[in-house]
Amino acid sequence: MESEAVKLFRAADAAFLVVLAAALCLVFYVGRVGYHEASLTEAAKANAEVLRLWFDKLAQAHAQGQPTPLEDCAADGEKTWEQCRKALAGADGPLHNLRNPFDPSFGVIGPKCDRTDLNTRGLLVVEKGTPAPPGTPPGVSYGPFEDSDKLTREMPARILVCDKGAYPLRVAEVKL
Amino acid sequence: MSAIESTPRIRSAPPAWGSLPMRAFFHQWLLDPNPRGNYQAAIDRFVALLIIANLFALVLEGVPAIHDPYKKWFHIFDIFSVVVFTVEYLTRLYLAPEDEEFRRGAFPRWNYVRSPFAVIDLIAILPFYLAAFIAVDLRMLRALRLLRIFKILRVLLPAYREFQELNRGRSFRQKVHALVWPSAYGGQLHEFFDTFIMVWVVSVLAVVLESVLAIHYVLNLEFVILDIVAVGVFTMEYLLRMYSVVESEGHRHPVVGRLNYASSGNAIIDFLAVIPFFLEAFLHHLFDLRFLRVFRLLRLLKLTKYTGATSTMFVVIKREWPVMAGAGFIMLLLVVLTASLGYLFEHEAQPDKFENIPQAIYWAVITLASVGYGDISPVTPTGRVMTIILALMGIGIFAIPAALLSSAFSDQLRIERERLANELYSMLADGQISEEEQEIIDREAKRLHLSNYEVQRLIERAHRERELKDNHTGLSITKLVERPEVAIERYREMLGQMRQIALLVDAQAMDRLIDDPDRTR
Repeated sequence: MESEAVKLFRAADAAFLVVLAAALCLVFYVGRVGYHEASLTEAAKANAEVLRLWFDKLAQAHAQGQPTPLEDCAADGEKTWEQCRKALAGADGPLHNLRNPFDPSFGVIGPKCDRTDLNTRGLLVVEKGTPAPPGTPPGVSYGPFEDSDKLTREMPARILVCDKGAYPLRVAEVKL
Repeated sequence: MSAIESTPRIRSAPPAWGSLPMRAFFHQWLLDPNPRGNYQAAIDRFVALLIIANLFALVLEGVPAIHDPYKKWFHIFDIFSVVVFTVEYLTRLYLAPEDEEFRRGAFPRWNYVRSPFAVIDLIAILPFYLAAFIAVDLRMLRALRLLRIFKILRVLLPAYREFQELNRGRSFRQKVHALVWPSAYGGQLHEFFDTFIMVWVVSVLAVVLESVLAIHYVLNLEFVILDIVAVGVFTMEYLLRMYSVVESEGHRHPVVGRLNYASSGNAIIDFLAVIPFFLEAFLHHLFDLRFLRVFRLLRLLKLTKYTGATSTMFVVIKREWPVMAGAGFIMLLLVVLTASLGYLFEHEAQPDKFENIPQAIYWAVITLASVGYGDISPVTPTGRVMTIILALMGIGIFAIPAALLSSAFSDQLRIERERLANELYSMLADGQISEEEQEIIDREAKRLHLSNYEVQRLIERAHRERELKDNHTGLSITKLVERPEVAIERYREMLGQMRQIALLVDAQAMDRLIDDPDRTR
């Protein structure tokens, strides 16, 4: 039996090596797709970082009593979120030169991440924070901004980015 | 000499201080693979681990989020590694004249310096020292440090050569089998393969870290790469096992054997270790498969095949299954009864909490298991009295399976140690322990978590019992044939006994007995 086995590197062995190589190629291919999608999410996170930096500047300007970088985003209790959102993506806004890495046609900023709608992948989402009422444990609960919401000073907000599966990823908590 | 010291051993112990010249003494303690119980294996293992740690450090240095805050620690680790590798190189250089391989010829140390492994060792440390004198680009220095990986060849090459030797004349599939399954043909290379797989299994801890948002946010891409490589390794392992399992006893048939293996616990765990990766990649557009990521933690179950404790536990559960099923049945009855009574007494007082019997089952289990979250509790006097009684009963009833398992577990360990003692007893039939038998003892001792002292005690006991038996009944005919000098002694002894009998017994009575025709009936 042993001597019979000696001479043989059989066709079945070669077939196994082919299957093994094919399986590893499949892992590589699937991995490459996964890596590419993860890279796109990273690019979307980089967009979110730009927005975060802009909000930091805004908070700094408010704190120092300087004029706001974007007039439509002034937290004066008059301007609405709709005005601010449009200004953010407008010609003078920080998101003007940014593109959605998943598909430029999806837009850069959106109302929410919706995992049933893959067109929301790569979107930046800003949520408004509502401080807990007095008498309850301290904390801030976040929810979607309504277009008609007025922007007020020190209003907490949260920046999210929609990942490759259109799930929200928290990026930063900021203040107006 | 004590009994333990006099028990058989197969390889010599390392020399005592002063028994050899210093260089030979150090060589036998530090680098010689032959003496049993010296530090050679431990040093090799430590150096191998340090090489792997260096490899990880090199990879992590490429991740600014990790490298930048801990730059100082990376540098300290680099210095530590170079110091260890330098000490290793100098020690080998100093002890080269004692080494069989290099002492042939006039200049053993020069022979060592020219040897391929020494060149690799030198390459591993040289860039560090060169950088102190020559302005070397940092990236170039990192690239040169990659050469340290080649040091692993010092461990791998001898293992590969041993593997080739053990598998000379065997088929490709048999070689694959020897590599991935424990067998007499695997040698050290099989152990390295197991270690390699185990290292990747530990990488599953990344799943735990991924759940920490701050870490996942920064290291998302690194986690993706880690997962891809881990799945590649596990897919390869799964296919290698599936392909070569037909060389194992009980799985010889190419189709049925593989199907049998595929349906075994270990194979299912291996399969579950890789399948979430593919499912998530292909089906994430159709279903919400994020929960599959947690299933990657199942890879930790792969470690169970590397420890005997798990198989002992399965044996125990299988053995005690009827009793445990009985205890489980009583527990079930008690839970249903408690829930029904709870519903009966409390439903009217708390209709929202004891709405129906199935809802009351939650309260019953929490009460009987002595967990007592307190979110649902009885308020009626009858309900409270009943709860007191049931909680006390629950302590006993719920403890039964735990007590059963615990006692059966220690009993099983005792049985397995007895089995080892019996094996030792039969191994000592020829009065000595061969190298092969010693390997079996070492393997079993590791599986049963026995210390060297305990093994020696078992050997001593078996040795004593064997001597006792030999004194009473003598060696078997087979053993006597194998050892003529003992056979002659035994023959002389028996002749002497016969003479004594002939002298002491009444000759007439003996004659009468011999002539009696009824004697043999």
